[in-house]
Amino acid sequence: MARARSLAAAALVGLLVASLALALVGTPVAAHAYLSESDPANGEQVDSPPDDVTLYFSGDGVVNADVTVEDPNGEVVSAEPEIDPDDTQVVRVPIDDAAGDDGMYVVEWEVLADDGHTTSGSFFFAVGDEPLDRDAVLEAYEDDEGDETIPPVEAGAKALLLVGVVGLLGIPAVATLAVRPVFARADATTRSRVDGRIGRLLAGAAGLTLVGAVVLGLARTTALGPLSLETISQFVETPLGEAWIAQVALAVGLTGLVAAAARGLVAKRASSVAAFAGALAVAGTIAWTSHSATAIDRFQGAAVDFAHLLGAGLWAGGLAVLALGVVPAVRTAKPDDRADLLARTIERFSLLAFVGVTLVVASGFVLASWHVPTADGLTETAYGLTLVAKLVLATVALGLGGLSRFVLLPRMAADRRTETADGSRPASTDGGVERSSRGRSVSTFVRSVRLEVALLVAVVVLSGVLTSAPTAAVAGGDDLVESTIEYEYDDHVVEVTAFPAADETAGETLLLEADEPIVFEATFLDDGGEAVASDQPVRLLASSDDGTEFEVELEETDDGAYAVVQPLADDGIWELRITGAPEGSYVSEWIAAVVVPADGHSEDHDHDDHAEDHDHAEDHVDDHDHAEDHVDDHEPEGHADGHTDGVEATGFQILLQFGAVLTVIGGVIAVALESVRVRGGGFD
Amino acid sequence: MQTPIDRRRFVQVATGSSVIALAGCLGGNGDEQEVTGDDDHGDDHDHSDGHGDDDTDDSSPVGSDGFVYAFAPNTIAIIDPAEGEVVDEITDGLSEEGWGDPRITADYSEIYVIRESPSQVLVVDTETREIVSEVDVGPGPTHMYHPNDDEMWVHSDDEGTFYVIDTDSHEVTEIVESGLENEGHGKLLYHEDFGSRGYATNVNDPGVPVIELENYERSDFIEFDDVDDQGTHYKAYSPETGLAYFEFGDETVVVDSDSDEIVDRLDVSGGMYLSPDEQVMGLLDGDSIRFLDATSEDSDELGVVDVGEGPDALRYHEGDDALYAITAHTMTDEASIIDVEELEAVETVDIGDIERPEGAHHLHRTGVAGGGYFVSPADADGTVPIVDVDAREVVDHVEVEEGVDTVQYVGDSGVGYSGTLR
Repeated sequence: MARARSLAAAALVGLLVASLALALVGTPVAAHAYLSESDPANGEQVDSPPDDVTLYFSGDGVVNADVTVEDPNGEVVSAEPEIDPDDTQVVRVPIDDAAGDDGMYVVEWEVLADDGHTTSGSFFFAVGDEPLDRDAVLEAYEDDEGDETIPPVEAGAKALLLVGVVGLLGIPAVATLAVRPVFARADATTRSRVDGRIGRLLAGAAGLTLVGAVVLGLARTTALGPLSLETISQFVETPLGEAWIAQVALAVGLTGLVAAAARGLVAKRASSVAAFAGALAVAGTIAWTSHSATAIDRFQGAAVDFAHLLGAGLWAGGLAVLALGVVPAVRTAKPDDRADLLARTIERFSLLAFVGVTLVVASGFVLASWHVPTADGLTETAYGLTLVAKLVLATVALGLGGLSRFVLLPRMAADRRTETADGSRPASTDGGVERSSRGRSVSTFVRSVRLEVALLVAVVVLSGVLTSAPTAAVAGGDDLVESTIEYEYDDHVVEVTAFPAADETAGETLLLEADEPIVFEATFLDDGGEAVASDQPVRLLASSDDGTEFEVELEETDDGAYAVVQPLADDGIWELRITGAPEGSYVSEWIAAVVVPADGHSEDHDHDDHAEDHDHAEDHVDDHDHAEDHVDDHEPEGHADGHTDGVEATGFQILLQFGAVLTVIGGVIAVALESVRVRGGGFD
Repeated sequence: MQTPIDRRRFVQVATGSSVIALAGCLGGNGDEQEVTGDDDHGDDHDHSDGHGDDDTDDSSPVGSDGFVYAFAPNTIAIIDPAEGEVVDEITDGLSEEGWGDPRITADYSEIYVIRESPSQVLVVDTETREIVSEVDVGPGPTHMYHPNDDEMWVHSDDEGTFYVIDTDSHEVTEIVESGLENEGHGKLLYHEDFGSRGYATNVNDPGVPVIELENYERSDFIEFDDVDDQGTHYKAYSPETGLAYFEFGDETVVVDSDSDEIVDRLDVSGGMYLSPDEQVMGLLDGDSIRFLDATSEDSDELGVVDVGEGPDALRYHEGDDALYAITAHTMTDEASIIDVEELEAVETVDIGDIERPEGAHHLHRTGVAGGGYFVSPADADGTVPIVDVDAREVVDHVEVEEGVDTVQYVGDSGVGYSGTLR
């Protein structure tokens, strides 16, 4: 009883400490390294080739960078890129002195981030006065489609590693705190069987950890080039490689420890404590290089990730002990002891499971608030979809856990009390022994716990996939959409298209991103839908609400449209005017445009609210007011610079954080109640 | 690709009516006063209610006869020169505007004024004192002409074309190619003597395109010289002789409007301004004004008046006892009043100061005459001085707004090359 009380007290204190840490968590952002800006900027026009190109990344820092700059002739004119030693989010690429041709320069980049993930992309800038070529720009955009693929080897290795670590965390903890104290009453054979099974489980977990760690590191090494001793040695010199070496060393040590324990060279209790400590260290290396640690905040992110792993270990790893260690061992115990051993073990485990579930759910809410800042991120990104799958499975597992704890466990305890009271079992009418209700409860429990373990293993495997995918906070920004508005004039139509747009247009307003080279096209269509040529130059005049104005001439394309590539430098309200003279008839159409900061687009745009006409100035002013509201709606969602300062949480993030707080409160209450129950003798 | 221009800065530099760096022109011509308009955009923009002066909520006619419209960055002030005060203002929708040529219709019912950015013509109803339309035109609009009652011709300097605006519908109905190189600052010379033709000038073309006003096309080109670094700019016409005058480099080419033949070349050049009685033509020549006999086939010089300090915007006033010419100086804050018959400056008056941006190649100061007054805005002071020409004195400095640089008189201003609005 004293041990039970100390277990309950320890669980409660641990949960409170972890909860306090979670409560202090902020609301930051991205993960992976994503290009946030560059100098020259994407689409910028410069007088002469710069001495170097500088890339500024958001999210994680950069461990290794591969950047090339091609001149208009397709020749590589860049030297080796240099990562700024003082700020690893900055990469500079010197440009060859010989570069001097006017035209479009394409920058292709691929970087390995602190979190071990590789991202890539391209952008371009122009030298000289010539306008950017539409086709070249479109081609560049096509090449720059977002890379959201999940590397299968890396994801698989990460899944193995996580399954192993979860096991190494949960198995010794539950074995020491829940299983062995109960089985101390059992006969020697049963004790031996349960110890043997626990030992094998530990060995398996250690093996998975070792294999996962080694393969994961090797997979990440390939980001530096084909796998070889040279690339491996390069990789181990990076901070990420150093973490990998530590991880592998710990995994080797754990494997050795488990092997030694299996041979009886180390005392069981000592080996369990050592294994748990080693697993904590491995979990620490994983958390230290996680999305959260590298993109959010090294310590804060690592702490939450660590709490998530620890919670998963106590829940899933402990459950594995129950399903694969305790249940088979109990079957060989004396029939009268079986349910008793099982029920008592479950009672003790429940306390740890409550702590684990609370930690994993609360930290999960926090992680989701960081990496899935909007609800749409759940359905529109690979990360979100994987997370949803994981949540569904975890919810079912949680339901099964609730079934075990709140239905089956009391039933087994009740059966145990009943049978102890009358000392008999009901006889079968045919003279045989009828299977008791206790037996049915045990059987149901066994099936339930095995299914729960299977579900949780799947959840952990999905976590491996999840941690290898770009988070929803940064994914999805590469969706390039086209926005088209049509106006009627006489019997004809002028069709104005902008690509890429921040959003497809539903009303009469273009939603565009600042500083993005935008291909504007105007097509005059006759009543038969055929393109009509303009007798006069077709021009685009753009005027922003802060006074910037320019007018450019569009070039006729092969398909009868008129196009120009033009970035809009300032975010805010712009008015665009397309003028031309198709078939000699002068056409002048005004288009309202809302320009949002790069990557600042969000949902819920009401395009019909503003700038529907320009009848007179007062209307105009009103339109601007509406549009400014619109801009407010499009404030960056927090992944523009990868830093946390000054980033306002979205409603969805606040909801998730609220969920974390509720979970902590509920978890503390549940653990406290469970502690009282355990102290009071459980279901006895 | 064009580099985005900070509009405010652009306006500040380019408006200074007073100060223009545009091929030395911009309104200094006899038939043009520089003004600009602004407003909302859209070729179909109908200002039936939104605009209008702050004091006249409805569109009830209030009239503007004898008043001066003064165009400033954020307001159009309607000034009664007799009282020396602003009687009304139009401010709605105006913000840091830059103005170009104004032109009033023959019946004085509407003022058309160029809004430099975003290349529009603003239509002001002088009865209701409201902006009633804004018409999108080609890029770089500078000068505007009213060759017939139904049309305004706006020259797009970036295209070398005229945008023809129907004065009833306020819509662009035609685009007429004028310049040979599809660009260049240009003007239009028209007089009823020409019939359906007109002459255009273009600083990029070594001669004058002949424009068929009814067919909306360039039908001919009168070449002055086979050079590619010289163009035509100022122009004038003398109905008495049928001679058309065109500034071409450092000379003035004289063309017989009946035969389109070059009949003379004067070795002086500059802005030319015909007196209302069509007898005298003043030609700005540096710090001097040369008065030519507009009735002479040989363009005899009547005399030279040295006024100094960069004279500009020559206007005339037929006084009780004499014909006066008034010119605003660009290098001082003064204007000179010249007795044309006596060929001497009889008075200088203080008309306030103008902006003189550093590095500007040409300074310009516009002015308008009407009702016995000479009005020339002082954008640096933000005032519109009113000069009583008969009294030879400034009767008022009407406060408007810093940057006020363009004026239009509602009535017979007598400033055209022919003495009429055309």
